[in-house]
Amino acid sequence: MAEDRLSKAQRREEARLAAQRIKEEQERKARRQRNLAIVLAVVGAILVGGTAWMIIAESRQPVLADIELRPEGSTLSGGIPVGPDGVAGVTEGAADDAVTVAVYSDFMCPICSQFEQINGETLAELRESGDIVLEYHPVTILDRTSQGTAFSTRSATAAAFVASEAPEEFVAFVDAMFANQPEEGTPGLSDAEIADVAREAGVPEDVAAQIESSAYLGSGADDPETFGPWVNAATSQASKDLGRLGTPTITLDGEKLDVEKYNWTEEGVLAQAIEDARG
Amino acid sequence: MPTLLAPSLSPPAAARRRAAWPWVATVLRIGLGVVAIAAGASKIGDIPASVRAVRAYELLPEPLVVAAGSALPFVEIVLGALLVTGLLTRWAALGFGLLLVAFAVGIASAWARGLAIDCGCFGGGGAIDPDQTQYLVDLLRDVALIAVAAVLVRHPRSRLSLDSALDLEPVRKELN
Repeated sequence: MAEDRLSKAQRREEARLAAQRIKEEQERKARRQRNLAIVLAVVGAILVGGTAWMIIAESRQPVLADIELRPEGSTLSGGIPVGPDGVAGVTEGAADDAVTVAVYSDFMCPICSQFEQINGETLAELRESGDIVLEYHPVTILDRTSQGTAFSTRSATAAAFVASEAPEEFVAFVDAMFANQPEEGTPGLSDAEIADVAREAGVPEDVAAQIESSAYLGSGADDPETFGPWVNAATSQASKDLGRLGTPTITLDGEKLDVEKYNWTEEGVLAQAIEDARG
Repeated sequence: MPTLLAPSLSPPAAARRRAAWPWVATVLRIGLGVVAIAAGASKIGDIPASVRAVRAYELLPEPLVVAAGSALPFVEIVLGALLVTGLLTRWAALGFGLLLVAFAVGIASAWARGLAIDCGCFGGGGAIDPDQTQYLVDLLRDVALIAVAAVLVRHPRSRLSLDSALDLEPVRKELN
């Protein structure tokens, strides 16, 4: 009898322990599921919310047509056309079948400077004779190579500013900017140095002074009273139009110049390509 | 010690490997997370550049280009943060692994089509000089990272992780 009772008590104790273990395991499982649900909800909300926010913010960036302040005479593809008179935004006097030569360049891009050195004179002659309309597309894709000073954006904004405020000196300013190109990986030219380049190009003092004082940049990239928004939208449009935006890219009447066929580093090749495009 | 146990090396060696694994996994997890954060951080300051980099692959339709390019840096940083802290390790490794597979497909496709672009993996991107492409290096790095992600999906258990602190680790089979 005594043995029987003992074993009964033991059995009861064992059953109690087993029940407790199951209960603990269930609580553990419930706790894990609750934690998992909380973590999943928080992480999921951050991912979905943040992703949506990033996409909405970017897709609300204005296109060129929505930009209030654009350089006088600029195109809705982000180009500043120059005709025989050499004045930014003025194409009167060019031949009816003049080829539109668009040059996409970043003021920080060494090959763009090389392009100017090799072909600048030829293009200027063809433009002056009315055979081509030269379209300047200042794009900003190399900001990360100027140690945080955003030289590409500043110089392109300065170019748009000069095109508007001193259109007759625009071509000389662009040439001078390439002639004074800073090296990649350096902070680039300061606003005061860009102003000096402008003065060298004959830009009137009141315009140069606004570059020197950084007034041309206003309160930041999206200040609607500056050309910052135009510069950003123009680069974005260039990327859409060209697909793979690299600099320099040259288009003839909108067709990308085939550099395999026309190696512009050789004398006369670009002129030939233009002649072929004119047909 | 190992030499003394030489005759019966095999079972203890296996046991040691099992014991060491969570530390190896910790290194892999944090390493992968740091790469993800570095990739995202290098892009997030210039979202338009990220969009241009995606566009340069010429694989996605335009509305998706903008969506992918603007979301990518943020997603990389979040997945990287999950990996570094060890929260939802398996799912974060799976997510980043799938992203890396997509990148590898994109790079291989750009290479096969003869495009001359920068992969834009850590910022930058877009057309470059044909002699400056480095598709092989980019692909090898991608494949190595995919392997790390795959290992973490298979064995996510690691030390110093929020998963273990919050009791979120997958239950071991032998305990069930």
